Amino acid sequence: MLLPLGFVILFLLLGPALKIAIDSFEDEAGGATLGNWLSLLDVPLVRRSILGSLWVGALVATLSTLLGTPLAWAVEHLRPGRRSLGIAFLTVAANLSATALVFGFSAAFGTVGLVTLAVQELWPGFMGVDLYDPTGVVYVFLYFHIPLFVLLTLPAMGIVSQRLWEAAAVCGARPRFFWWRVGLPMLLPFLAAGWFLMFVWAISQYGVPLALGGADAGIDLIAIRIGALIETAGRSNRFGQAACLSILLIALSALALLVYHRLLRRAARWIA
Amino acid sequence: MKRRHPESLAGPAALRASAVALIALFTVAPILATVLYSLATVWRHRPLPDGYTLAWWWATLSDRDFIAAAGRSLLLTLATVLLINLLVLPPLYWSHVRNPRIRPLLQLAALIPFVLPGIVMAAAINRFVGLWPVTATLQATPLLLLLSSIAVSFSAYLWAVDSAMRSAKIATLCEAATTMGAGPVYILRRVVVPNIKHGIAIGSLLAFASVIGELALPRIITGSAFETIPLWQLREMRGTDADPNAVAVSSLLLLILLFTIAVFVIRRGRAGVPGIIFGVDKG
Repeated sequence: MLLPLGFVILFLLLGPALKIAIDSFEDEAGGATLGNWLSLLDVPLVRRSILGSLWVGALVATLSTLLGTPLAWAVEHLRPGRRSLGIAFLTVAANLSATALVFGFSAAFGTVGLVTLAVQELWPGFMGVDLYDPTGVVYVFLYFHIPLFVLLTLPAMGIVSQRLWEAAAVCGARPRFFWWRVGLPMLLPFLAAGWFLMFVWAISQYGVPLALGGADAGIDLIAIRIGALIETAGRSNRFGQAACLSILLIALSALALLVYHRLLRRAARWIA
Repeated sequence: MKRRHPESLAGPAALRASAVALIALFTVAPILATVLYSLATVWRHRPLPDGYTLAWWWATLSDRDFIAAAGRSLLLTLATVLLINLLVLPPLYWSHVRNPRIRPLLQLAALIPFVLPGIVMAAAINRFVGLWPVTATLQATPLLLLLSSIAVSFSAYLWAVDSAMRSAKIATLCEAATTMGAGPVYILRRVVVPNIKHGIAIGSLLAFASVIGELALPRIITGSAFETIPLWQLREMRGTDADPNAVAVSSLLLLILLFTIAVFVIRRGRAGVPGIIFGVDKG
């Protein structure tokens, strides 16, 4: 029963990952070397892509958390009909394919986009989002990361219940005190877990930055750099660097997912 | 003066309603802009196009490259979803009914694709099959693309069906059916599948959506040798013969396709999707 699926996991996920780990320690002739790893620091393009991914990941995760939390709270407390409608919209926004998303986003919010031009009728100075600037990628990421964050934290919002609120009020707690000592401490593990998951999502995105122009458009992210290294190098010597970057990406994702799990395990007691 | 304690914890209703309106606006704007793009004759610097035409729809739907790409995408996606069903359903069923010990193993397996981003897998799988002469023939073939699509997108399906089996209490149902003398095939056909149909539909839909929009795997594994819709769109978005109107039409066709399936799935049952949204990846 388990065999066919086990075969897929072993030969199409774990095996390739192991092969790439070995690749990262091999030089062009197949000998053992640390050169690939050391070169990560030397090659400015590669170094920039690492810093770029960390920066974009942290920024997108932080903004998603800050903007997504009140939004999740609002959606959770809507009347059932409107709530499902809100969830439906969020699901659509979160699931647009990379090419459709980048195209639609630039057609709506780009410098000559629909929304930008409409706003310009009222407010001529409005410029819209310059998608072909390296920071443009952050806006497009936010477009589908915020809905994901909301969908993810929605189930947790229910734990800060009306009953708790009334109980605190009976004991004489003011709203600020309630939020500071009861509401936020309960929600915090879920929000933090959401942050880490958004970070993992953001750093592993390839389709969206590629559709935005990729390395040619000056987008410096690990995933884009891996793609560019593979495409220009084929099967030749520069694969070592791509392998190192891959392992780095795997390690970052694994670490963040581990923290995510720890946080949720601690938080699960509120739901049970 | 003592401030009055607010009655409700939820906050002002108007604020919450405007939050939903904001979500709707942000979601609808790109889709609306895409619709207008697909119908516009010329669109100069004004909020709305100068005129409307169906010519782009006609041109795209009769474009040979597009039709070929659509055929490849549909074939790849349907085959992936079908194979995911065949691969994941039996062990999942087994873990619920016979051997609960393999369940944590399946859960762990579903997490693996999250640690291995699509672009990394795309790079790694071609290298890995190149290790042996027998498998090296697979390099850059559509078959390898199909296999790796299964590997990176079975998680959402596994979660959806797993939670469906749990909430339908499949183990108890099977026990009851066995006590009443039903055979295993009969149980599977008349008890298990009808009860988790909705989970299977949602899982298949999520897998379908993620495979049909996937960019990393087809771009790195097969490249232009097996051009899928996202690759075709990418070519139409950039390069010398870029055609934004064609991209708009193709995006809408995909959206209509997904939306139709989604409506069909959601109308059949009332379970929520958000619990399993964890499986979203844009490749």
